[in-house]
Amino acid sequence: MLKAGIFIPELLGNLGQSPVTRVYPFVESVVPEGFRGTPRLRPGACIGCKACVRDCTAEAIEIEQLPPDPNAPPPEPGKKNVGKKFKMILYLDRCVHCARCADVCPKDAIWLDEEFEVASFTRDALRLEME
Amino acid sequence: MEKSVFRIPIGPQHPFLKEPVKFDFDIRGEEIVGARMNLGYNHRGIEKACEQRNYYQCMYLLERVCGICSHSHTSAFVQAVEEIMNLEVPKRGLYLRMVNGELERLHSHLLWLGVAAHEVGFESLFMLVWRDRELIMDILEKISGNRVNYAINTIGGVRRDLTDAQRKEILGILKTVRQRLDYYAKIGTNEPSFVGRIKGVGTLSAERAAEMCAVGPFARASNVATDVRKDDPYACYAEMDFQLITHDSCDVLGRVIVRVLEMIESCKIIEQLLETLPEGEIALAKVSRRVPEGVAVSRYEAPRGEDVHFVRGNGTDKPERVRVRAPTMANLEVATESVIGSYVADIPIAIASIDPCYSCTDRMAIVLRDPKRGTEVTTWEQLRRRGIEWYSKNKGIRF
Repeated sequence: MLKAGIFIPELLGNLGQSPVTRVYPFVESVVPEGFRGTPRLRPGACIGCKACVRDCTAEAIEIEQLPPDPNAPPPEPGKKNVGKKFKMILYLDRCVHCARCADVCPKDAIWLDEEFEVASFTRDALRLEME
Repeated sequence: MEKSVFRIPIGPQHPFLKEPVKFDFDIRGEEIVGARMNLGYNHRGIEKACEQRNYYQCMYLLERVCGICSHSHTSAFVQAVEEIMNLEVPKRGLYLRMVNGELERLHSHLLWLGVAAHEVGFESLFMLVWRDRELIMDILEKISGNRVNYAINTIGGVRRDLTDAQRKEILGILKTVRQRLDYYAKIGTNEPSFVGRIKGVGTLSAERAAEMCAVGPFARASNVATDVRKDDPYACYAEMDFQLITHDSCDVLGRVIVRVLEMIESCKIIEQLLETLPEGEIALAKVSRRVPEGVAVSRYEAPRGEDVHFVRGNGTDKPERVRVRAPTMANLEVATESVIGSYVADIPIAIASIDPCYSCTDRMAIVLRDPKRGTEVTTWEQLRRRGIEWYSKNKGIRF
């Protein structure tokens, strides 16, 4: 049955309420726990297997070996990659924040932070190098 | 074209279109007497990109086919891959996949209801509906880690478990949402300015909807009882108690009512799922990266209608072919036709009533008919006969 003005009580009820819209960026915006932000590398944890490079949807990750530390002891024979250090280059402009890199990493070397304000004026600033 | 008929082009860029598409309407005075549409302004090459990526990369790539039904596309793809690999997904994983799917249906329908209200100039309803949609978006962000691209699926299950606190929180929020939906159902059918604007607009008869294979709420509003969740239940939908909503008004009003009532059914499904959430694993512990040779067609009831994914595996870790048929593809042709007989001012709401998503729909196909290479073209009739044979043999469905 059609009733004129059926919507009016709701509108009047809302008049007395404060606005729902938050005045971001003047008010801090909080993301929930488990938010998928920027991938980060735990220092020294990477073993250079490149599983993340292989599975990255956006092809946004590069893993490069760092020059060997001259003071480090020689690696034991038969143990691959021990003592070697790697850095991750992340192209944040390409990253789609799917967290596949963190899932596929056998050493849990990659984790995602909760940073969401990652916009930048230049593309170069979005090329992150992590060791 | 007779002299009194005038042709107005709408698109590819037009204020009422959210994405590029071209319509040509023949009008006599204010009345529309002919309509045509032309797609192809938004081809992104996702299907081809999938052929060069492994299955895990494809999953997140296909999630980006659509911003609203992102979960639908990954679910359809993952279901197809699981069928080829013959995997049995743990029940808890399937339940969580369904929870996400139904929450997505809720937010998609709420978004559409807001857009529909906006198209007819009912801005208050638009604002209120979108305010309530935020409740659902917040739940989705909490359980998956992102508002839009949830990335919750993985081959063999889901990636994130639901804690008991989250489960209780969702049930609490759903109570509020259900109250609001009951209110919208009342508004949708009782507010004279709203009902008067959408009643009798964009009419599509049941016969024509069935003939043109319309899908989703658009077809159900024309009294065609089609819903993959009932017709060919995937995941655990066969165990759920819910109604298939249809309406016989065959116009935009019917589409509003069907969507609002369907949201109430979605709430019921989520409540059932969360109350009977089984214990156990959420995903298979070890899944091979290589997918054996085989083909699979997966059907999924996306918020806009039936979403079909075709996957062919060739024994490597990359698919040989992925084909995506988004629901808008099935609806757009007949929706354009449904505008005939309405007025020019009805075009935005009549086209928007299918909840169109043109970017999801755009595909490119090159047909090579070369007898030397053994390629042939299958006609629609041959394809239909093959389909009937396959379904009667493998699924026991009689036609």
